[in-house]
Order: sequence, then C-alpha cells, then structure tokens
Amino acid sequence: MGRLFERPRITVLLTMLVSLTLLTLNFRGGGTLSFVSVKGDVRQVVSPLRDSLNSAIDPVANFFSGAFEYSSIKKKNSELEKEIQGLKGESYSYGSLKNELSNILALNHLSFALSLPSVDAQVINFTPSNVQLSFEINKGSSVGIKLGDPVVSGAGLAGRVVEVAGNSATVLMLTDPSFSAGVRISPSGTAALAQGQGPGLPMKLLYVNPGTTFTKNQVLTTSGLQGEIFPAGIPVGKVTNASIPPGSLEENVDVQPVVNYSSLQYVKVLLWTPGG
Amino acid sequence: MARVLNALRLPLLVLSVLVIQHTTVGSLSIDNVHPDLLLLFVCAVAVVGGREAGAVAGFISGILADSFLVTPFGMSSLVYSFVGYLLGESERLGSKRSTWLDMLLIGIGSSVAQILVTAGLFVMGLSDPLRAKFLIEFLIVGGVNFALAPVMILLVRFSMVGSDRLATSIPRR
Repeated sequence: MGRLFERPRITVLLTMLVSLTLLTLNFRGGGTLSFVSVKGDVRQVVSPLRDSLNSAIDPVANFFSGAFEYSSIKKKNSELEKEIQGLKGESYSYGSLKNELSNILALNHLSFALSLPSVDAQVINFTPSNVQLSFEINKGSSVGIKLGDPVVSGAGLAGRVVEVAGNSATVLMLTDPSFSAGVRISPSGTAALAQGQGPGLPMKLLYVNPGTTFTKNQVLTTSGLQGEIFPAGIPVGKVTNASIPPGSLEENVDVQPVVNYSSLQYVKVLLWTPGG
Repeated sequence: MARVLNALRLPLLVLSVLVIQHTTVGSLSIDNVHPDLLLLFVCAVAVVGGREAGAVAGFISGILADSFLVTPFGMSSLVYSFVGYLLGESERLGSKRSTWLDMLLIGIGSSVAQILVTAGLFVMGLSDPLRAKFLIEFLIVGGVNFALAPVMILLVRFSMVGSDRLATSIPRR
C-alpha cells in the first residue's frame, strides 16, 4: 500500500490531473478562462530573447545556406527571372481583364469581390512543430484581427487565424491535417472539400462528384457557399494528380496549395465575417 | 548564493532549449520533420533525475510547448509528464544502465510521446495519426533525439548537480 502512494506516483498523478483539468477548462470554460491570453503572455516573455537570438544567428545561417546551396540558388534565380518576364506579359493583359471583371461584377451585383477590409502583416515565425502546421504574424487583435479571419498571400489562400494575441496571431496552414476549405471546381462549378494532409504533402479533395473531370494545374478557388468560412473566389490550390483507384467510386485528387510557404514573408489578413 | 545559482541552472536550461527550438531548430527539418528539443530535454531529465523529476520536467515543458502551439492547453503537459515518469522508471535498472541504453530510452521515449500527442489530437479531431508520413515523423523525432541524447544528458547532469529539490539522486555509473 505504501508503494502505491510513493511520492513520484503522487507527483505524476498530480501533474496529469492538472493537465487534464487544463484540457477540460480549455474546452468547456473557454469563455471565462482566456488561455489565448495566457499563451500570448508567455510568448511576450520569450519573444525578445527569440528575436535577439534570431538576429544574431540569421546572418551566419544565411552565409552557410548561401555557400552550400549556391547552385540551387543560382538555378532559382534564373527561374525567377523567367517568371518575371512571364509576369510582365501577364500584367499587360491584366488591365483589360480587370475592366472586364468589374463590368461582370457590376452586372451581377456580387458582393464578395468588393475589396474586403484587410490588414497587411509580416510572417515572423514558422511554428517548429510536427503535430501542427502554422506560422505567426506580427499583427493581432490590436488592429482588428480576430479568430477565423482568412489569411491570403499574393498567390491565394494561406490559412486562417486560429489564435490571436494583442500584437501577434497564429495562422493555421492549408497543409495542416485539421485544415479544410470548401472549393469550387471550374468550369463545372461543382463544390468539394480540400483538406490538408500534413507537412510536405498535397491537399486531398473530398466529396468530389463522380465523373468530375480535372486537368493538371487546374486552379480551385474557395466556394463561398453558405456557412463557408472563407469568402468566395480565393485561389486555394492547383490540381497535380487525379485518378480513380481500382475498385473505388471516388476520385483521388491531389491539390498543391498555390501558396509557397518556404518563401512566404508578407500576408494580408481579411477582416471578414462569414455571412457578413 | 551558490545554492541559488544551482537552483537556477535547470530553469535556465529549459528556457534556452525553448528559445533554440523556436529559432535555429525551428528552421531545420529533415523531410519536413522538425527535431523536438523540448521532448529531448524531458526525456534526458527523466533518465538522469528519475521518475519525479521526469514528471515535473514533462509538465513544465509541456505547458511551455502548448504556449507556442495551437494544441489545446494541457495536451503536451499531460503526455510529457506521463512519458517523463515512465522513462524515469529506468532508475530501477541501477548498475545495468549504460550510455547506449540511456540514448535508446530517450529515442524511444521521444517517439512514444510524439505518437501520444498525435493520438490525443486525433481524439479531439485536430489531427490524423494515419496520415501518409506519420511513421517517418515519429522515427525522425526519435532518431534525432537518440543522436542528440549524450549532449543533452551532459547539460542536464550539469544543471542538476547539487540540486536537493529532486526526490531521486543522480544515478552513479
């Protein structure tokens, strides 16, 4: 009996009990106990240390990465130059397309494409976790950012806000297994659900209507259907692979997010409320 | 004064580990899997200091880990304190222990903790443990912590020398 109640056992039972209590309060008492603010406070304490260490380490890290990845950087540079040339061409046709779009919108009175209020933010940290894929931005509730706000980059949807502190917010990435977004498949217009699968993996398309055809690099955009948490028309990803596995009725569709997280530096947080 | 400095060593170590995890190690990855130094710290404290030290270190490190993640508050502390306690059971092995065994325990403990956190998140509908790369993920976390174990054990030993706050003494080799 004495061994059953020895000190280490009581300690572990206590720590696990406190953890379970915190977990329960997290779910059931979230309204009265703000764990988000506790998390924000801890971050505020560690942030100065982290920032100064980052600023000391970054030049060294950049030097080594530049030295070891010289050939790939050179290759990427030439690819970017090509891309710039292509984008220059696209920008010339963009003006006429913009006029065309505004005419169509005016005709249909679509509200979603009106310029939504937004906040520009800088990506300050990618969460180094294997169980959750997110990044931190340098703006928070002080500028009106709230839970659930969509976050976009120049290319398209980058994620949604899942935690907000005063001067920072955490954004869940598209590739996180708990992330999903309703998408529309053009030109048929049918809706499906794109879901993250984990680090380094493409998103998976669920609830695809049988017989839906896909082309490689076909861009899927947010559906904006009733109850959807993102406004319509934001590019989500490109179809990289579509096949029907033997014996399956559902199509297996892989979608690569349009956002390149490895080079993501600035994002725009859309101050948008579902149904608002 | 010396007692105060000794008592500060371990909190300073965990703070350093946390900052390094979120700066240099945060940008390092093997096949998109990040090393987990906080988990390495917990396992090392458990192996060096025993069950009680492992459980307490696991709880505190878990709270710190949860503060930086979207994971529910208490999830990591629950798993880390449990794994810390289990690894601390190795103190019963006494003279049979060796550096290789400690490294192996830390590697396995890290993988187990990673699996348990993923399973816990799955129960809460926040993760999918059967995602394509889950096995590689657990193996990489365990493997990296196995390789880094000797360094962390040395650091933890240095931090715990002279500490009388722990129930178990540092095992002698």
